[in-house]
Amino acid sequence: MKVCNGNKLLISQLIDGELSPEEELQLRDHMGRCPACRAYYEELSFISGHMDDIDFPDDLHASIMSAVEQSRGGGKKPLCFRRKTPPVIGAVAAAIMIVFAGVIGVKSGIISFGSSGKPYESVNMSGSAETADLMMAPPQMSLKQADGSRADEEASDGEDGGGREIEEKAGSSYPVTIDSTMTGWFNSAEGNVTVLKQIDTESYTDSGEELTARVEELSAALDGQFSGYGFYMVAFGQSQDLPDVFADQAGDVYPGMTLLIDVKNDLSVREQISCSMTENGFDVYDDQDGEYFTINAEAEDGLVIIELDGE
Amino acid sequence: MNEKELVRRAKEGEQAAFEQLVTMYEKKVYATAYRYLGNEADALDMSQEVFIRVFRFLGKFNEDSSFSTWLYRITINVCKDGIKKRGSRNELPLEMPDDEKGTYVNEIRDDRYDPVDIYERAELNRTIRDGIESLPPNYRDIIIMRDVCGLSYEEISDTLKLEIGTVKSRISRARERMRKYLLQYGNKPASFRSNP
Repeated sequence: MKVCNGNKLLISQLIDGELSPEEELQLRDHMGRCPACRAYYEELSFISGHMDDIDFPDDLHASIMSAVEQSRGGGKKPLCFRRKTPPVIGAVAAAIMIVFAGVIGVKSGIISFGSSGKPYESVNMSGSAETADLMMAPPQMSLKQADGSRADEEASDGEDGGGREIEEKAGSSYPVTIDSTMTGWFNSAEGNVTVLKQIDTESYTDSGEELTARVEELSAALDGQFSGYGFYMVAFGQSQDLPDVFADQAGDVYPGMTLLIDVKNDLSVREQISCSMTENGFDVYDDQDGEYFTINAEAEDGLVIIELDGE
Repeated sequence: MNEKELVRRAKEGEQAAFEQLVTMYEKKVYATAYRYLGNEADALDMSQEVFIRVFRFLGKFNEDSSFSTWLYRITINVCKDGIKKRGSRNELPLEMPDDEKGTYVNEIRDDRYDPVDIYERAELNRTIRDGIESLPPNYRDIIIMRDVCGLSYEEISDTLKLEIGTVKSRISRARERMRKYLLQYGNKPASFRSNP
């Protein structure tokens, strides 16, 4: 027996209650006369009905609440209750570091970084000694606010009280060797990574339009003059928080996701890398190598443009 | 108290409101994780991580959008990450006798059914699990979103950035594949009629 032509789709929709009353009546009438279609409907209904037919652990609720509670007590404040306007430079510093972790981390394994002021202990990278030194200390970076102003503020570690000055230097760049990337997009390169621009997202998380305009401005300003790759770190956001120019291309976006964007050419989203929450932050996975690096949970949503020469 | 109000209160730090949200969604989240990961231990781990993440990010949740859709997106992402982390699925088989009495530690237990039913249900569960694993990722995601999370076509369309027509046809094809898998490999329960 064969299901009548076109009815597989209709039967699936019937199970989902997605047919109009007329369509449903017609299909049910047909199934009353057609054993093949009726059997198909019963089989699909059976499968659909058993997909969530599982038993639940008795301690499901308690174990979830306990895990949430433990996550609160892990030394980090719960992020959802943090103040709405964190220090801009703190966010910038975190985002800048994402670039380095993003570029170098694949080869390096776990790189922890953040606002603790501690050295970056886990770094074992394949770059030069200068590169390693770079990672052992807060970087000197070039940064520019979205509105074009310079950031001459002193970064603070806030609650840690450790305090750390971020000295701004235009065009700072750092030598790196990249043996592989998280995407395979460029496989091997040696050159300088330059932080060209970082857009603070705090001002645009509530306004996609504003950010879209800024990204377009940025794109126009860059005008294909450099080999730029952007990392858009979606630490907290949802799809609707993304600027339109990215949202239109991106699939679903979750908190903890990183978008790798081709800033040089067309602002296309080249890769979406999902991350998983850990005690320390996010683990970002490299699909190809199965290695990962860690992004501190205090990171903010943000777009960081880097230049990689010597590609 | 409706869901929007609960979310609002939870965002403001009201623990009871957050816990009520957990109660509302924990089973769906667990079921989704179970269907992705295929065993209880991992499903529980993933469920915990989902709500840890929800707790951390609730402050950023846009209340104009659907909380359930947002939650299920996180759930699916966490589950996919869980699979990546683990390397492969289903490390804990459903039906390994764990002691001399033949207790099936990981087996689905339900006293409402007699032993035959228990076996049949566990067998069906295993086949569904394997069937889901056999699906291409895009089919797996969509059938779990629809049949486990219960997302509407529109919500799936929004989540996956697919046209509604594509959602419909992909769900239909995913179910067709599951049907074929069960017909081929399943120790079919009497209630599952064959349709050669």
